[in-house]
Amino acid sequence: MAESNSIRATASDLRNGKTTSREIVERALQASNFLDPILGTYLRRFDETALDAAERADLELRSGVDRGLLHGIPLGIKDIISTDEGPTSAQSLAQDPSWGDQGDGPLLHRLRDAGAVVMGKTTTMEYAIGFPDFDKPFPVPRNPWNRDRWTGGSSSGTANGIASGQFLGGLGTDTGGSVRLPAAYCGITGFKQTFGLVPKSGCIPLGLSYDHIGPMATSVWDCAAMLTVMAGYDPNDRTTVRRPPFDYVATLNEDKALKKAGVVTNRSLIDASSDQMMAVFDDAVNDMRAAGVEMVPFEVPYYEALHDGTFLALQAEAFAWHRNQLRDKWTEYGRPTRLTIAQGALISAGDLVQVERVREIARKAVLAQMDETGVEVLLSPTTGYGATPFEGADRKATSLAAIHTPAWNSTGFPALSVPMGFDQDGMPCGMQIIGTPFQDDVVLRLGHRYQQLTDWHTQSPALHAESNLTE
Amino acid sequence: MADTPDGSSSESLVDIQAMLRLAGIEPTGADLASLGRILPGVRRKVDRMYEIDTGDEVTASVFRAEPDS
Repeated sequence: MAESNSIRATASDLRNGKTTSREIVERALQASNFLDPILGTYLRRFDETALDAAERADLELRSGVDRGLLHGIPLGIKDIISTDEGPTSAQSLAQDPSWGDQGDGPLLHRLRDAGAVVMGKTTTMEYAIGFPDFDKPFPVPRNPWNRDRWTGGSSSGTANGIASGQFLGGLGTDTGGSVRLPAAYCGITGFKQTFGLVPKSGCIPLGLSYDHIGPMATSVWDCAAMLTVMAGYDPNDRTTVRRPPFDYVATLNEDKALKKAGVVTNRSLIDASSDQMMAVFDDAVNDMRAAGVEMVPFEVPYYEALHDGTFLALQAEAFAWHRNQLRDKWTEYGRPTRLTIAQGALISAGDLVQVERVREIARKAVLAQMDETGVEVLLSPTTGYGATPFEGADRKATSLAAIHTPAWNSTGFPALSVPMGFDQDGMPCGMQIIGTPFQDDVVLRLGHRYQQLTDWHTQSPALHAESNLTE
Repeated sequence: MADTPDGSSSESLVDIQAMLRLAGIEPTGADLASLGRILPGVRRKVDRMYEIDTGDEVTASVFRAEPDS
């Protein structure tokens, strides 16, 4: 996607009179008429309310009311997050439609107060944990870089909608990597901020202590603009922390040179990554090194335990939320979903306590090692392989070991995925930048610096609104 | 231990049935067989958690008696 197709550029165009929010939304809807049916982006479109919101945004800007960088900007919302416009399906036949009657949660309130335009609810994997399911009456999200490949999950429609230019940003949720994985597979930027920075109220939980709602967009700058609005304490979410408001955009260009980054060298990560992915990652590391960042090898302590612990605990936590519904509606769940959540019943209460104790030991050990070695951030590929085909995928590429995101849900550390190149099949590859708790600005600053050095985040797939719309 | 054709043990299938029945869930034969194949891997991961010396460490999620506002 070109720089022009970003929140940053659009915010500028809206203020210098080059365009209006109404024009942007109309073009987005026109693009979706063509792209949505072939990419499976939306579960529900809110065309009329989006156009109304765009007109209000234009009227306010004309009368001198400027709500900030998201004013008049179209966003897609993953359909496990409640909104005023309609029910929340979680892409499941098992979901009680009345759950969504609660309307906007705090994040939607914040985004709308900032002038954002909600375009609709985007596709997901069932309850943010299933897999692409061709047997259910829901769209199967497809990768705009190759429609025979999946987007990654579970914030699939938000990712493919941004990558194809149907909206400029959106909300995903991330329990084991569901913001960062589709961001990497679709060639966009996605951020899982520190746990507790952004409220989760109004979102169907998956792993209660692993869930994050995170921003997705074309660039780090755009994610920073969204996070600035999203962050903040919420009395309805006890996991949120009280911190003063912070402008993550204003600090992107601060002259605070990052001195040292750790390159993750754990064998289990490297063994579960293709040679091609590691070669692309090496190039990205070299780009960072050339920019003056010292790179040192970093063996993450307890990495495998953090990785496995995330899946064990999130299944147990998910089972707690789904138990009664699974009992009553077993066959209404997709098969992969019910089998995944049911595994939570095979983990005892004592087992979960032990996972939680390991989680605490590991979190402290990683922080201590980063402190002792002077490493401020860690770098790794986001995934071991590019997006896989729906049929005939290499088993290694689809294994849980080939995703390099879950450990950071266990620690709660901020983790960003930025595009870093393409694999041999022309599919995007993502680099993950991991920081320490509440140093989200440090992570975003390094990601922004990388995007100033490279143009991977500006690449567009052939299936993009800009190349499929006539003026 | 008797083995089923898909490689899971009949004992583990009985265990799974019992655990799910406690929750009122009665999976069908194919689902039960799949869970039977999955269970050994899940238990291996759980067992590895107990191999880590956690001493007297508390859980990551700590309850605090706090007012909500």
